[in-house]
Amino acid sequence: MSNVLIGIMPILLLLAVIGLLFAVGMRLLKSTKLSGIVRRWLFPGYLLILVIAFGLSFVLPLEGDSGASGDRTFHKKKLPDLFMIPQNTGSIDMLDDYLVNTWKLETDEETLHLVIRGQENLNNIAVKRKKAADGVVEAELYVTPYVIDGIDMTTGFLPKTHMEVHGRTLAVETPDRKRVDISVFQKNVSVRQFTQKGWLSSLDERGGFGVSTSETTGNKASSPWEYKNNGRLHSTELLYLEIPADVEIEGRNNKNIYMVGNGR
Amino acid sequence: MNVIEATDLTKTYKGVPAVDGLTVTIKSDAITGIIGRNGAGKTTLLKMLVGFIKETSGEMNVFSEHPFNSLHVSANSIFIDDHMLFPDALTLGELLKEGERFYTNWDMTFAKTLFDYFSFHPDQHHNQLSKGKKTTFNMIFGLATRSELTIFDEPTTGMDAAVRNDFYRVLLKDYLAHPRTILISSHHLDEFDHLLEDVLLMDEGQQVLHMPMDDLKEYAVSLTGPDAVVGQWLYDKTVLAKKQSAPGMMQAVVKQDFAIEQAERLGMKATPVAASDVCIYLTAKTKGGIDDVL
Amino acid sequence: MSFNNVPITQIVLKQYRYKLRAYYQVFTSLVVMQLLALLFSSGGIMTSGGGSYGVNAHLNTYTGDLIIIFTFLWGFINAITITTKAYREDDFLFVTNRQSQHLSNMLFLATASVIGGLTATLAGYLLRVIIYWTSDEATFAGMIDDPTTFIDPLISIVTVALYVVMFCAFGYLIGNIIQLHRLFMVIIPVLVVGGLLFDPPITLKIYAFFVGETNILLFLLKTVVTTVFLFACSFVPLRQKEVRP
Repeated sequence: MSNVLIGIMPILLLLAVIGLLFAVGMRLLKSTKLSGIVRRWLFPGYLLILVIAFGLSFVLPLEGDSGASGDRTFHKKKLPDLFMIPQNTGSIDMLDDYLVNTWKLETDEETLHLVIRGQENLNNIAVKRKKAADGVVEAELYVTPYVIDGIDMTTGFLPKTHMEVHGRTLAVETPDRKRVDISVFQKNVSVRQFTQKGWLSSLDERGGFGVSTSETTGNKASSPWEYKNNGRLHSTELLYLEIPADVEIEGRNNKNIYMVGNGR
Repeated sequence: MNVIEATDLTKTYKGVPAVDGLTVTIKSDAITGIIGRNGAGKTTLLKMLVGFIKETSGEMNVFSEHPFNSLHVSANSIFIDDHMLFPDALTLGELLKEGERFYTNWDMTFAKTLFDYFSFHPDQHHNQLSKGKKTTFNMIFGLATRSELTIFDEPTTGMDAAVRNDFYRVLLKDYLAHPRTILISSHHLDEFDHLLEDVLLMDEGQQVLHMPMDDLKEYAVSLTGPDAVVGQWLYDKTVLAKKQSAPGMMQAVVKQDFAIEQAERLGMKATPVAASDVCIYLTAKTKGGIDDVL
Repeated sequence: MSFNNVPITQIVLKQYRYKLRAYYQVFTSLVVMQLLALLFSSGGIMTSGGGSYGVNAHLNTYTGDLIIIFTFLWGFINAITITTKAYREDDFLFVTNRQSQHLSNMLFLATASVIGGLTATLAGYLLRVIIYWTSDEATFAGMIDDPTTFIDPLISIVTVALYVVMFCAFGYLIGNIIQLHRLFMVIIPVLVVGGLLFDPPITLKIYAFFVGETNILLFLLKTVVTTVFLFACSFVPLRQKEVRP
């Protein structure tokens, strides 16, 4: 009972605020001396603006599939799970699309101490020992995009990650988190009601009528792929290090580091 | 022909009768005055006539139709008082145009002439007018409709003396040019008795008298004479009022159902009583008036 | 005597045209309401987001939904307003009876609803244009639903108009009941809140009955029948309503 009351309180408050604003607005309209002109021209002027906006909306690239605004639509149905792929396959061949940074760092030390600094945590570091002892550490950072409602939220917005060798230290400087706001449109409720698939399916269950349309999703825990679920895909990242044959890596947080390929 | 026919008409508000068993007929093409003190039921009667309110019991016909919810009655009648609410959104000029659209007999030339004479401006709004200006505008609006039944409820409230005189002149002229049934309610008959053809006097929701104005003027006579003479004379007469005019002298107002010469022969002085005074005497609450109460 | 003989249809049409002029502030308040809704909508109706490597991502979804909801509210309030004393008694300055008054009120509310549906739909497009111009091209991702078709605005106008006219009919009924007795001003809100507390919630059932209907023809049938029913009920208290008693 009280839950419902608490639930409707914000709605009632909102309605009260709207009512108040509305009353104040109407009072202002009534009291002003130029109210005659305002009253006469407010509605026709508004209509004119609306019609112009309506016309413009078909000219401007407002749709998701056209022009510059279309670039953010993410069409793929699945993304490789970077936590899984190198461990399972020992290869990173399929990841080229998600490469964000490469480094080639020279070193003559025998042991490198891996240090991760900065706000972000690199959850996933794969190390592969090269055949040659050429004294070059080759590093690659892969990040898959973060997708919400089929919109790629991250591509092009990733802040730079830095990496360098300092004596015996291999330092990775992760970036500070950056806020990204993406704007999208959704059709009006009055259109969605008749065109959207699965409209109000969640309400069906609560209201106890109609057929439930919720689908069961299988357990994909072991799959190297992440599949789109409700238009959502999670981002995964991978730091891939190729180290010379004669170099050892030791990290502070060993559980994130694993050897792939012809290593141990 | 009778425009209005009411039989045993009663309207009660929360059990208190405002109009109480009134039976009346009002003939067409005449100006009738509805006279009565405050709370006599005048306004209630008039509002029933135009279909604003519904009678509690009894029967009523206006233009041979029951007025409540009758489009025919609404199209051919107008009720004018100082509480008329006009829409705020329209200017006075627009209101006149609306009147023209609704009332087929509407006389726009007449309305415009008076509108200018009383120096109204078409862009004014009704709610910005002073009380007197409002009633003046209402009067113009009401007369311009040329409704077959035109009702003024206390029309001169708030008007100054000059406008009031103008109003009576306009009313009479317009009536002569376009005869129709006009009802004017007022609590005193004084200043417009020359307009009226008929008078309906009401008190406590009932009809006190209903007669032509000419008859009302001769309804009563005032007799002045020595106490003993007047006292004896009054024995079988209908006395409306009496008072001590001087020591030993008495003045009495009596219904005139006898020959005045008889009274004069007995030494009493007979003077006519104005119609408005007759109305006051007939509806006085107590014989002595307020002096007796205090 | 020369009588005006007027058929009721003619009077209803005259009253209807009069109301379009005299109730002009109804449309002024529509503009005020929708501009308020536009203002509230310009911050994004829905935000979903989360963090990933290096980025805190927020997806701001813009729709005209709030404009539509405000328009419902507008219809409801206005329908109540025109049942109040001042509006009801204005009619009796001119030729009217309670039938013609009721019919012209219905015509007026239906017209206002169509205008509400039209403006609410178009205001949704105005919102899109505003958002397009105020947002950075790189962060602007356009429409996430299927591309807009030319039938979309038409569906929206019809649907919103049907919803609004139903809200109007509901407000009109409530207004007329309140005119019957002041006490209903307290009783009705109590009933509405009571309806929310009911288990299973009646309001949810009603909501699902209309909003859950995805067939536009059935929706049309449901709303039209409901509207006609509500308007018919409103005439019961109005029929005997006295003017300036």
